[in-house]
Amino acid sequence: MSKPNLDTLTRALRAEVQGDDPVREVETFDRIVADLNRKKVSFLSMRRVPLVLLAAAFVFATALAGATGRLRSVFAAVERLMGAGTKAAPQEPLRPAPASSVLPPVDTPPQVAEAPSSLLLPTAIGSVAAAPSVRLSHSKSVLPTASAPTDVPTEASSVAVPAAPIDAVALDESLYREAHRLHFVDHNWSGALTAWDAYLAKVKGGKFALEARYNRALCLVRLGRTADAKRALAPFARGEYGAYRQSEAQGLLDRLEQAPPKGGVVP
Amino acid sequence: MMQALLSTTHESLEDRSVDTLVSGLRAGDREALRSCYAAHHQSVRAFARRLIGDADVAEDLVHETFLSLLSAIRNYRGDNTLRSFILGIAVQHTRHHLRSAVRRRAMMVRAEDAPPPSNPTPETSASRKQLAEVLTRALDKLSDDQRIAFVLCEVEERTSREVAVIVGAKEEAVRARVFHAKKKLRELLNEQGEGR
Repeated sequence: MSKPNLDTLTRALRAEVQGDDPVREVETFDRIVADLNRKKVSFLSMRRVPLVLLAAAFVFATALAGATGRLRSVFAAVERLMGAGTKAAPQEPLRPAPASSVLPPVDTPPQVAEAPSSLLLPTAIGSVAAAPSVRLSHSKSVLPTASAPTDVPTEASSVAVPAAPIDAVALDESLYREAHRLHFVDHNWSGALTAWDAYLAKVKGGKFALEARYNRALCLVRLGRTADAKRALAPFARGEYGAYRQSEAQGLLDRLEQAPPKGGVVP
Repeated sequence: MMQALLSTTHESLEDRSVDTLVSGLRAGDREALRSCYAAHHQSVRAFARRLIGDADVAEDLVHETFLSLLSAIRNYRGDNTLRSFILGIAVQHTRHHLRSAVRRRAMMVRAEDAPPPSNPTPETSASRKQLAEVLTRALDKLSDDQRIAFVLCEVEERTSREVAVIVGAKEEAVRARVFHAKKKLRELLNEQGEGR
């Protein structure tokens, strides 16, 4: 009864790890590339973070100011600044001119200070602020609460517009991430196939669409759907996407031609 | 023998010279990474599987090794082979993978409430896989350094000089690690044999 000695066991371990798994090799490389891309994307996303925060802070501050009724004073300050900036030196002689062009003649000095506020605002800030500032010029005490709600949504909607593409990018990334997890972490090929399909349907021209298409083909190989897999790999092998995955796709197609992958069984 | 065969195959896969490949990697070129992966992934994978004894965890190590290659390549001076350098990266990343594989194996043994594979004899027609598993479980008892040195020197049949380059240690230290590893493994295997 001779026990295997250390040399025998060492030889066994040496010989045991000789087999290779072509699909797995490709998948691992795919995972590497995907992670490198994600690093790049997250770096770019990080660069966008300050802008997004700035925009969010601006929206919040504007909404808060509108709700508390301080927006008007802000507008007034802006107007004063604009007025001071553009017409600093000849303040007094120039003011009556624009005022007289729109409003009835202004006589008293105190009203001269408010009159430009309604006139300069549209050019200084935009049409959004026109309504409240006109009310301001008429009466401060009558409509303080009425003007507040109109400010908030108008400001918010006008500033929040750039956030939409960021949401789309986030959706794009989250779909991709989910599919990637199912594929490369859970090894849930059927789930991953569905997820890749969902990603491709949602973001047709997504930045990872090509990669998603290739990963989808890998899922088909894994699931033993040889005919579908061949169809999915063929464009890559033909070079329709340039050199992207061309050699890997051709290699997989060759292997599929020779023999089906281990019964398409999920390892 | 097998390593020589693999290296021949790998080298024929790629026409790029090492210099071109390295400069491509330094520039973050994906094609260079692809070529490098094609040329070296089998060596890294084989080492990872032999060392860790778990195909899934080994695959994670392969992934991590090549993922960090693009940044690590800046430190490549060209005084050793690129393969040794890449295996060195794998060694650097190996520790927590080893821990998780060892934990997983121990957990599986507990969950199955079964003893680890017994020390098989030729009479019990033990498969090669079983024999390899016996050694893997015995390797779990070694320190990481001893384990790495044993796998690289004894299982992969690399010279102690090459292993010293890979692990970043002196040749004498590598030899000492292998010596102690073999001694401990023999003791462990004897204990297992007596315990049956």
